[in-house]
Amino acid sequence: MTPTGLHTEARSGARPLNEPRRAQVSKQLSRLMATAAARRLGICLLAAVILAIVTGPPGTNAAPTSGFTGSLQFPRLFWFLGAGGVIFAVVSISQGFGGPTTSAVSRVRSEIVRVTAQRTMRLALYAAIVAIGFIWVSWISPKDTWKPGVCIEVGCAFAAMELVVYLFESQSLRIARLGGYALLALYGVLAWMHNPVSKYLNTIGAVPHSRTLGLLLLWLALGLAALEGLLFGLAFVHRHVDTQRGRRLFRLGGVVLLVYGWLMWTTWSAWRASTPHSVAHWFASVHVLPHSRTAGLVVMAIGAVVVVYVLVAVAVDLVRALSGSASKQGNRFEFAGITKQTKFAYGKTAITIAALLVAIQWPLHMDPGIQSILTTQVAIYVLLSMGLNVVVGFAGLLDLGYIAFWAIGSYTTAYFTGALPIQPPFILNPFWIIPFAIVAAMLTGVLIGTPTLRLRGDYLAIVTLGFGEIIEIVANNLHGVTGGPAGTPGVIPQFSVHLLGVNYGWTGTVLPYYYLILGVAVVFMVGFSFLEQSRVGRSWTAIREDEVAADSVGINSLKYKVMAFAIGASTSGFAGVFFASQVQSLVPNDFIVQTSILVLVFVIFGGMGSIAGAVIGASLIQWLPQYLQVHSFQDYQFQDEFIYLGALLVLMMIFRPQGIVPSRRRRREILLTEEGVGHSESPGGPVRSTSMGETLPSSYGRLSLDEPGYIGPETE
Amino acid sequence: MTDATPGIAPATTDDVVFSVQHVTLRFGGVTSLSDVSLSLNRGEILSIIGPNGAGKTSLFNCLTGVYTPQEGSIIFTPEHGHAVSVVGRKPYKVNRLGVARTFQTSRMFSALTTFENVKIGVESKQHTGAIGAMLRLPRTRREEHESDLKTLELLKFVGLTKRANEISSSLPYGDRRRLEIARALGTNPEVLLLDEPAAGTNPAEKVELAELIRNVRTQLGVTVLLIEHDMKLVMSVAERIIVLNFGQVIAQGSPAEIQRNTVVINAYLGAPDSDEDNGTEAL
Ligand SMILES: Nc1ncnc2c1ncn2[C@@H]1O[C@H](COP(=O)(O)OP(=O)(O)OP(=O)(O)O)[C@@H](O)[C@H]1O
Ligand SMILES: [Mg+2]
Repeated sequence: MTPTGLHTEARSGARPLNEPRRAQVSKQLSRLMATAAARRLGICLLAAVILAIVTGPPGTNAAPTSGFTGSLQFPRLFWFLGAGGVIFAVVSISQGFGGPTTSAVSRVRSEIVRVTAQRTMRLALYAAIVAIGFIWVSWISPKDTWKPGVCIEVGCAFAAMELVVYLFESQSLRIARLGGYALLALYGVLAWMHNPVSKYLNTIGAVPHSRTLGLLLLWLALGLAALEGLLFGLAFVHRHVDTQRGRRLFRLGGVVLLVYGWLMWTTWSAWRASTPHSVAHWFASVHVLPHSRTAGLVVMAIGAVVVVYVLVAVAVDLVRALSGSASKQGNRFEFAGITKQTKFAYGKTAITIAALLVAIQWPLHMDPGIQSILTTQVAIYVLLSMGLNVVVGFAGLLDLGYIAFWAIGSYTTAYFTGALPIQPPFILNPFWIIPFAIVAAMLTGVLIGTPTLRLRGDYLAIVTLGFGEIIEIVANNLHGVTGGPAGTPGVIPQFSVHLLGVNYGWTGTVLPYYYLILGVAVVFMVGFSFLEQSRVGRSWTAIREDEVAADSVGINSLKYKVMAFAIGASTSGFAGVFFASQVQSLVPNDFIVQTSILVLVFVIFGGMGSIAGAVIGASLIQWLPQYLQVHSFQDYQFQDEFIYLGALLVLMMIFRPQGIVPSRRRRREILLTEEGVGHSESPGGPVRSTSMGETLPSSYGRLSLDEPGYIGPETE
Repeated sequence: MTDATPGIAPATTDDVVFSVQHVTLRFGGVTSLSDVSLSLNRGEILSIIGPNGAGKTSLFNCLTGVYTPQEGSIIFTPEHGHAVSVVGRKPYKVNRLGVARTFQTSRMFSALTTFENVKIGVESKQHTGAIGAMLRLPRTRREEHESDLKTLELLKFVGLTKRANEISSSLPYGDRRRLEIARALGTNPEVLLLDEPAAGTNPAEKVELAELIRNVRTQLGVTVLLIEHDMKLVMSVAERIIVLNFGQVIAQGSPAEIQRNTVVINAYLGAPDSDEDNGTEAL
């Protein structure tokens, strides 16, 4: 930037002097500042200075400004400015400088993409990430022993992910799956055995030493592999069962298996083996026909399946022939680019799996304190944020009172466990309250949503904001129902399940909660991503982009908006059950409006409409205050978080308005809006309203003079 | 859908799809439609022409439920089923009756691909709900498959197969128009209302468009109501023409009759001797 600035400065000096010099300079300056890159550089450097001041030493009473000057001392300030410059460079490279540099930058960027597409480069990248992660981990926690283990695990996760990508690229799903089972089995063996290798792995925390776990994993892997084999066998049968000979062969095989199994089951060989030199004795001694009733049953079952399968195939063929329907049709629908899975999608799956592995393994090594934060502060908020993403991201509705549904879920739990002053008709364990909480939150959502969603987006924001406040005020003041500001009088019990021989209580440590929520979150993630790619998700996109057009193709926008609202509300209520039974006592202060805004920030920060974004946004930002508390700047207060969050959001809106990991559609929308093509950026939409209160196309009533084919009267 | 009736439009008034009687629409002091009566016969291609601000688009909005006229009735008669009044019905419900439309300025879902745009139209009458979608139940998958096939068929019909995976806002103007037609056809309509489909297209595209409109009628058997400023297109496609001016029907008849009609010529060029108010009142 500086060279250009100097250049124009020099040129302006050579201009005729009919303009005052000051005006010229300020004109040049404003022209310079008009470029995006200059603005960005200015913001980065300014932010660096502000950060330097904020984090500086405090002033004393004697010299109040000493803190200020101290924080701007030279070597210190240079560090901050340098960091600002680095951030500027990174952002500029990823965004383009604008103007003539753009093509060069995009060339650099495509070069980066090309390089990371190579496996070796990617491996190097993983190594770097693991190394940086190691440093970061040693920074956030002083606890030492598990660090190498965690890093090895993260490395393994990357390796596994790479392996998955490789196997997917090689287009053989079966080999991929078998590879996965082999890995699982290896892990099981390592956990099971007791030799130097597994001992070492145990000390660094990569593989726990547990015979039961090892055996369990081993059996799991073997079982999966066996299932795979069975499926393969069935596919093989299926392929050959159409020919007469193949059919006869399989029927024969099935019958042989049946007989063999029957012989085993009757322990024929054991009975006959008592006679020496008998055939049965010989069979038993070479283990061709071991005597085991169970094994016999299994073999018989397999034989029966094969026989039945062949018979069914024959029957199906018969029916087909009789009904005269067409011959077998491939019902796989092939169309280039629509159902074709791209490598990109495989990569995404691989990254998700790797992240999941980290999410499973990592907390095991943490302090109980951090585990509890991960559960109550992070995992629950991940759930909340995923639910709000459906409302804000998918359907484009601005919900500012989202936490109210969380409160409803929580207080429903408190009510049915008998922890409130008013007593329920029957007392349940929190686990069984989940459906009640979901229904309660959903009903409230529908009740609030149905009248409001008929109106334009802004009204929804206002009503939900008010609703959030009302819930908090009600919780504070209805002493007889909620226990008032002091909180619930009774204690909400923890989860426990007693069903079909499973007896489990979530007492003691917090980790089981973490894993339960993790499992639920994964289910929600899958469900919501199916939802997004379905008819419902597309209808939401249509409504978000252009409600008038959506109406014109028969989409009932009110219905879909209420649906999104209800899904969000029920997710929130669901999270409330976990929260209530984990903290065991509720105070209205847990449900203040700021929390709604906070969850909204997660969604916007992560990238509206992106499930991964919601998860990442919630985990990163919820981690932030914990991080700040451990490595506190001077006098860090809990409320200070919002200052940092505000700054983060402002920066975000300047540099990356679409969020960290935006959804493809949303990113496109935002780009289009910046070009002035699209309609909606904010929830609320593009539509103007008229004096009649109707919604109209924004082009309404405009004359089409500039369009060819116009034959109207000549305008005067 | 109606049977294909190529050639001459049925002249009988028995088989009326849309019957508009004495419709008046006002916006404050502005009267965009005053006492408009017309009827659309099943299987015909009817064109509505008129100078800017004549009320053509307003009429479309009344027919599709976007506007509610202050006076008059609009009756839609589906091929199978009872006649229903469109007045006061929500736009999406009107679409479900079998009326699809395009817009004067194209209104695609610009962040979606061509394929997805059309698929949204096709899917709008399916039954998959949120729970089915989240669990990917068999019905969801079957419906998804069906709508994929139908979408492909429609893209082929309008000639956009090659652009199926492009983002719709990157399409050239003419393709956008055809995309909107495909999306509207996806809802399986009996009547298709086209609001200036040729605006912004080049002469070659106009020829293709005329062909497409004819195919909509002959191959799909859909009745077409067409607003268009391009006289060449109108004359080559329409079987009947209705002329609007200042919110009133000033003439109707075959293309040849309209071309000769002095009232129409005056409306377009401005009546030479009288001022406009008197001129229209006299008609
Ligand atoms: N929502 C509205 N509010 C106020 N006036 C309106 C509204 N809609 C239409 N009008 C007025 O009604 C009249 C008819 O408009 P309309 O858009 O129907 O004309 P048109 O025949 O479609 O013209 P064009 O050829 O330009 O598309 C115009 O005077 C217009 O300003
Ligand atoms: Mg118009």
